[in-house]
Formats: sequence, C-alpha cells, structure tokens
Amino acid sequence: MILHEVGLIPILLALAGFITPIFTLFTRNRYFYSTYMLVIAVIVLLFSYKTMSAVVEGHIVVYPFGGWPPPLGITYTVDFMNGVLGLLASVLFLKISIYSFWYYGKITGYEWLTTLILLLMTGVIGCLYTGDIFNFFVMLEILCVSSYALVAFFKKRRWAIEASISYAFIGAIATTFFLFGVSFIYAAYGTLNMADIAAKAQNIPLTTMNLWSGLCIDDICFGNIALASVVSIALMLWALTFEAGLFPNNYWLPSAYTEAPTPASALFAGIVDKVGTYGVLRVMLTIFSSSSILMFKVLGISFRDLVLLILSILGMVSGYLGSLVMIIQRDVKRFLSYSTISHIGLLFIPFIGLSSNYSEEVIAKTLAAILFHSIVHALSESMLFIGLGTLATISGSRKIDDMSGYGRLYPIITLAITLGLLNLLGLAPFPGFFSKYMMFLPMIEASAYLQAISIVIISGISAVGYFRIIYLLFLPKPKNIQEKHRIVLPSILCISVALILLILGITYMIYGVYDTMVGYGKMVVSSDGVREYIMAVDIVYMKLISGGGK
Amino acid sequence: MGSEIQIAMYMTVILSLYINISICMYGVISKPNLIKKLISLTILQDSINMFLILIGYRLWRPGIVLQPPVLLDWSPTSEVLKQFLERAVDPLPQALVLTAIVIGLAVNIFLITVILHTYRHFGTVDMDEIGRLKRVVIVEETA
Repeated sequence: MILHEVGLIPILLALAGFITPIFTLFTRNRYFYSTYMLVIAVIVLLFSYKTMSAVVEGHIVVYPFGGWPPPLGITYTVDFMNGVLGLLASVLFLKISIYSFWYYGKITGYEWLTTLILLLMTGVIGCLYTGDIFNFFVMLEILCVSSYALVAFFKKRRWAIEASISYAFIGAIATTFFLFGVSFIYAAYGTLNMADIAAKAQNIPLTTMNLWSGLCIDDICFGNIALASVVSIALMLWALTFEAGLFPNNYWLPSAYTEAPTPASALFAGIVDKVGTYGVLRVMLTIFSSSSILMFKVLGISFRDLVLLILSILGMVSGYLGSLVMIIQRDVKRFLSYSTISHIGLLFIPFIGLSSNYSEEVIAKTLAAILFHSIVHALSESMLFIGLGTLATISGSRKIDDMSGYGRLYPIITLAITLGLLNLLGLAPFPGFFSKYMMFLPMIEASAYLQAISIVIISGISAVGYFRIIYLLFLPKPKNIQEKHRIVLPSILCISVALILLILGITYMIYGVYDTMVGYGKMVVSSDGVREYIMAVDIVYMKLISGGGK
Repeated sequence: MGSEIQIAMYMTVILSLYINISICMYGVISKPNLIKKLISLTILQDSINMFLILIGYRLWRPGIVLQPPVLLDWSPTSEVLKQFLERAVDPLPQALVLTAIVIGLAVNIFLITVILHTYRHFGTVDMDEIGRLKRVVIVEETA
C-alpha cells in the first residue's frame, strides 16, 4: 500500500527546521516559536497516526520517493515495528512542544533550539521509517549532528562543551564506520534497499527488483555475500549500539543527557536511544532473519545466534552497571541518565529470545515485550526528565539536595514524578510492571533463566535509587524557602502523562493488549511476515506502471 | 603479465587503505590533543570514501581503447551504448561519496567550532587534562 503521508513527514520536518532561521529576521517572540513547533508536531502526529492505522489494518506501507521503483530510488517502508515507534516519536515531540511554552521563557536562543529539535526529529523519524540502508546512514548523521549541537547548546557552560566533544568524536567515528559497513553491503549485494538485501540474504525469489540489482547464485551476487554480511554486521552494530548506549559505548551518555537542555534530554532518553535499538532489531529480524546467510556455524552455534547472545550479555552488563551507579548519583539529570542506561540494558536482555532455535511464538513474544517496554520507558523517562528538569530550572541547581522537600511546595508535579518513578520501578497497576512481566515470560519459555533473574534483580537494585529520590522529594522540610515559581503548565503536562500511563496499565489488564501485541509481533518476525515485507516493496513497480497509487 | 601487475597494485591500494584506517583509529582514540584527533578523523573519513569509490572501479581489460567513456552522439546506436557501458565505472558509489563528503563537512565544521570553545573554556585542547578536571567534579557530585 502506497501512502503519501509517510514521505511527507521527514520532508515537512526538515523544511520546517531549515526555514526557522528566516523567521528570526521578523520576530523573536517566544510564543511564535512554541506555536510553530506545536503546529508541526500536531501535523506530524496526524500523519504518523494515519500511517499507524494503515499498518494496524494489516498493510505494509511503502512510499517510493520521486516515483522511482524500489532498488533504484529511496523507499520508505513501514511495518508494525517502526510504525509504533514512529507514532511514539511523534507523541514525544508533541509533549516537548507543549513543554516549550514554559521552557522558552527560561532560556535565550530558543529560535536555534527550535531549529535543532526539528532537525533531530527529522533524523529520528527518517531513521525509523526508511527502507533504504544508505538513507538510514544519512538520517543517522542528521540525528547525530543535531544531537551533538543540542548537547553543546549552553555554550557558556564548560562541561556542556566537554560532553559534546566526547560524544561527537566517537560518534563521528561510529557513523563513519556505519558507512563502511554499508559500502561492504553494496559491494557484495549490488543494492541498498533493505527489502532487496533481505531477499538476497534469504534466497527469496523476486519478480521486479532483481531486474536492476541482478541475480544471485548461492552466496555469490556481485561478491561473496556471506563474508560481506559478517563484516558489515560487525561495523553497523557498533554504530547502532553506540547510539543506543549499550555497555561498552555508554560512557558518553550520562554527561551528554545531563548537559543538554531539558526538552532535548527528554527526546534523547525517550526516542533517540530507541532508534539504535530499532536499527539492531531491523538488521537482525528482517534483513538477516533466521533463514538467512548468517546461519553458518561458529563455535557450535550459528553466527546470528552468537551475535544475539553477545547483545543479551552486554544488555545484562549495562543493566547492572546502570542500576548500581544510579544509586549514588546526586545530580538528578545524571541519575535519570543512568536509569536510562539500565533500561536500555533491560531492552537488550531479551534479545536471546530472538535466536533461531526458538519457536516463532517465543520470538514474537520477545519482540512484543521489547516494543511495549520501549513505549512505557519512553513515556515515563521523558516525563521524568521534564518534571525533574523543571524543578532543577526553578531551583537553579541540578543537585537533589537543593530540591529536598519540594514535594510540599509543588505537590502536583512531584506526584507525577513519583508515579513515573514507580512506573519505571515496575509497580503493579502501572504498565512498567506488565512490560517487565512480558519480558520475563518468554525468557522462562526460552529457558534463559539467567536473563529472567537478571530482569528481576536489576529492578530490585534500581528500587533503592528510585525510592531515595521519592524520599528526598517528600520527607525533609524545604531548606531554603523562596518565592513560589509558576509551573502550572509543566505540572499539568506531567500529571496528564502520568494519568495516561495509569490508564495504559489498567487497559492492559482489561483489554487483551498482550495478545494484540504478540499477534502484531508475529506479523513482523515470522517467515511469512518477512516475505510479506519484501513482497510489499517488490510489488511497488507494478503499482507504479499500472498508474495507480492505491 | 600486465594484468598481474595491475592486480597486485589494486591489492596494494586496498591494503594501504586498511592500514590508513587502522592508523587513524589509533590516532583518534589514543592521542590526547583534540586537533590531532580531528586530523585523524578527517583522514579516516577520506579513506573510507576512497574505499567506497574503489568499489565502483572497473579494471581495464585488454582490447579496450584507453579513452574516457563519453557519449558523443546525440542518438547513439545500441552498439555504441554497449561499448559505453563496458567502459564506464559504476556511478552510484560516487553519488554516495558526494553525500558522505557533505555530511562529513558538517561534522568537521561542528567539531572545529566545539574545539575552539573548549580552548576558550579550559585554555587547553588536551583531553587528558580536561579528563583530570572532570574526574574531580564527578567525585564531588556523587555521594
């Protein structure tokens, strides 16, 4: 199914981002920029909702840019996995643009912040929706450059500059190596379209795409695709796990998330790290699925499963590391960054359940759990960044000690923060509990007991840190009584997000969210689902020459 | 005889690109000076772009006249087109490299700007000294 909204979203965002500096010639009114961002956010939300509703009906949405048939031109392909994350990204963008009405009153240079946030969203949505591996690289670079600039936004603060430089140098190497991996893929496969690569890697016969990109005999297309896949997997996964902040690549994350402006931190913790997770999922599930070229044996198990096992172990390490280091933090934003690292670890732990020796049922359950936990974590972590960031802005310090007792001064926003922390911890009526339970079940089914127990222990360790923040916010008497600041808008925003989370948890119990998620997960991971993804792109040429868009 | 020398030279080019990439990785990771890091990074980007262009390269086979593949006729016959396609290199990697160079330009300009700001704030571009300062701050921050 061809849907024009998919192609419009990144173009609209990029255009809006690049014309923002022109507006500075006419007006510097902060309400203008907030409204501008809000209008863009609403349009993007409507478009991504329309895409998502087409995906939920069972279509795979394709948009060929410029009317070029798939392997020649750039194609955007949306199935359930990236449709749901794209909708999540636009919801978070809406949240940030509402928050900007309050936040832009506290800073200068908001017109540039608007430009950078719009460009960041271009990168995020482009990365999520694209069906072309080189376009993924371009969008990843847009995302990365705008996030380096967002980290260095307060250029008068020396540690913001330091955080930006330590993020940017290794980030520039990582994305350059992503390009290196893409070059290996192009050299061997002769194509850059993800569906075409997937078809060649799994030896699925095509009708139109191989007219341009050639045929394969065994594992020789233009070069040896087995060798090229292994090398490019190694190079691409580095860049993707760097963006996600998985264990050996997590050192830049706390400083960068801490020093960025609060709306940018909320976007980073909410969706930017999910882009890396999504990239790994797309590469391991669709392109190199369980019947692909990567199934040759290394050390007794197949190479693909070895990669998934290593990712799962790295997830465990970063989960433990994040939750342990989180306990001793005094800076609230640094605390939340370490919480993000531990939750990224939790997202990577179930990767063992995606191995090829388990049934499609288990793989679908694992994917459903990863997606549901992504949604829950993104909503509550970005809400916490907004809430605690607001308190940090009005108290003039990010230290938790300077905010002690703020629960008595600003009860509504602190209540929302408490609910968000309890959700991250995984308390029963909140969706955080159900997402952890969803991750726990397939781990038991896959008899990966170490991973299953780790999920519980990591939650237990991080409970200490979360309860410490709740204790310090509520119990002590406020130290320095000062005049009360007006934080009506952030309070309403945070409490409504907290209520949405609560409603999400209750609907999970009443309606069959679990079965629905698993059903859609099966559409993505099963061999029929992968074949459907490829065929949806393959058929575009026929639709284009028959003149119909539908 | 001639083609063997050509293949050996091709292999030498690929090998030297790999060595270049590894030296640049060493430079970016272990040199403390930010300017040296930046120079290594630009050479790394150029080596990888070079590698990508090399993918589209086509070895000259004997029997092909050494002249640039340009179509001179406005209405070429299929024979002329066939000869053209035999001589021409793959144009797609060049398009990809153009994109990558433009992106690399943006990243490098950003890095130069941030290095300038680092020098203004810290009075040095040595990452080891800045890291030592940072460790003190981090230890003060955590309980």
